[in-house]
Amino acid sequence: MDVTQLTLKSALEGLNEGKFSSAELTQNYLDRIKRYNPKYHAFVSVNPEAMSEAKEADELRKKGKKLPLLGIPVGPKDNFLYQGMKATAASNLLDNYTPQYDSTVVKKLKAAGAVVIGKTNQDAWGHGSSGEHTDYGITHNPYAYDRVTGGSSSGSGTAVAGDMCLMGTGSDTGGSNRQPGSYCNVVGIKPTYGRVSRYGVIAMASSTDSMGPLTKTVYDAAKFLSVMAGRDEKDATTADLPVPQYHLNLETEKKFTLGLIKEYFEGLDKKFTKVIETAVKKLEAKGHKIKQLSIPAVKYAYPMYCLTVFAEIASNLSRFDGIRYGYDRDRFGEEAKRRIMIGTHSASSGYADQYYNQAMVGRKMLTYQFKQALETVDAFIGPVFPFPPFKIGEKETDPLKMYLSDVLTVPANLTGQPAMSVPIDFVDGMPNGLQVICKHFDEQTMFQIASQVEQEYQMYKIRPKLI
Amino acid sequence: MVKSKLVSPKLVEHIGLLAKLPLSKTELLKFSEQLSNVLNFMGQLSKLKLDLKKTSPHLNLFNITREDKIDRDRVLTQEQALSQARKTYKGYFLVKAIFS
Repeated sequence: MDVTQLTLKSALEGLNEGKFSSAELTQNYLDRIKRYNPKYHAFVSVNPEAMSEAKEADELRKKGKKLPLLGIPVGPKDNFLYQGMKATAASNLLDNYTPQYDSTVVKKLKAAGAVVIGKTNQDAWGHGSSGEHTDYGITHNPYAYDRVTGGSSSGSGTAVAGDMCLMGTGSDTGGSNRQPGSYCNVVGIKPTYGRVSRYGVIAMASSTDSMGPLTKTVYDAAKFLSVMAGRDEKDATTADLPVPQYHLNLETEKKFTLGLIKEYFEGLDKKFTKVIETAVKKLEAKGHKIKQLSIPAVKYAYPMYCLTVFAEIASNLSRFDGIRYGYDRDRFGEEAKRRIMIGTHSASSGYADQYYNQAMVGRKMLTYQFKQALETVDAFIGPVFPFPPFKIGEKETDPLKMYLSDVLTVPANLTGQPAMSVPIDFVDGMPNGLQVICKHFDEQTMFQIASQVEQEYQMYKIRPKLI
Repeated sequence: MVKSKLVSPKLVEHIGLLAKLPLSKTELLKFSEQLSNVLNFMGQLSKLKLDLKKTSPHLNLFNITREDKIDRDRVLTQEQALSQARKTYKGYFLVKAIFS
């Protein structure tokens, strides 16, 4: 048995039954990281304390301690602060930065008994949809070495799909967890804005950043989110709502009404339309109702996103002055510079009415239209990406082209709704996900729908062959 | 007639100054081109007919408060706070002179 291929559910069973220890599990992942990371660049750094954390977990288990993730090796994205371990957000500007405190998510992971195995690679600062914009080596797709992983949580996508850790975390500002989910054949979650604390995660855009899991299965994601979520006094935007044990309420015969948003299919790669249609038919055959509808403001979601988020980026990245931590601003990469400048310009006096303020009002309108549409359906389903994983370097020359790969994921960030990618049929031999978008704080329904999709496809049984 | 760029190299230079980004001459030209393209695309937003008044964020959160008490859990010691700075002086962060 190769323990690195296990899901969270089966790994916990194995640990509890004493079939293997956390130390063995962790060592196996570390061996794979050693072997494959120099080529795939899934991790920015490996935790030198991982083995002692694993042994500590084994001791606790021996003493009869019961914790939800006891002894499970997890890879937080590099923008999640973990005290004492370098956090770069994959930018050279932070190459010398060692955080003095833990992010709330990492704190919760530790309290749940997880082992932090290393910090995963990403597009620097979260700026990118491909995994190419990092100062620590481009992340490669485990299913085709010359292709991109999707981003910005590229390292977590490759690490989970390539069996270099059991689960990863990511931050989804415009699609960053769903995109690597889709391109790497794993489950990627963007929870409702305010469901998971943003405290201690290097900020990209404060009004859309949503922290969530990347995992092999829906069950794993549901259980992981139950650990991560909840009210945090250190993040005033977290909601004071109880956190359900999502994973205990997945198997259901419940039938849903699922909406197809017309605008999501306009200009979509034909092969993608076909696999989504197949998924729709399968869900219909299971007894779910399908409803076609239109959300006109979706057409303008991308410009709204770009103007809102880039302005927030300009503001958030202004704190990097090289005085209290990190290097000087000349270390910002080209993509960060581009976004800072667009954001600065579009929110500046004389231009704000035309750009930023217009986007703010548009955002409210989009949210309103989504809310109205959700009165007639339980959830929306649709594509994650408008095209399949492209070759590394192919879109680098035209930033606008790269930005537009986010066009189907950004609406949920603007409205704050929960959304996820669950793996369905491959397109041209490459992984692809179905996007499920639900009502605010209704992650439970989202997981139930995704779980039924997973039962149909069982894509987690397909494994990549790393080279 | 050649359409003038939405963002001229001179404007890029000005934005760079506002955002404290050191930019080379080559970058001024490149970003002028790229920023013009991106903002030109964003301009389509003006076609959107808006019928809602400008309002607060998408979640109905308001007046989030906490007890006015020091949370020791998130207070760094002076040593910790200074630990990541490249230049310090007698327990302070050292910054460049503002007045010359």
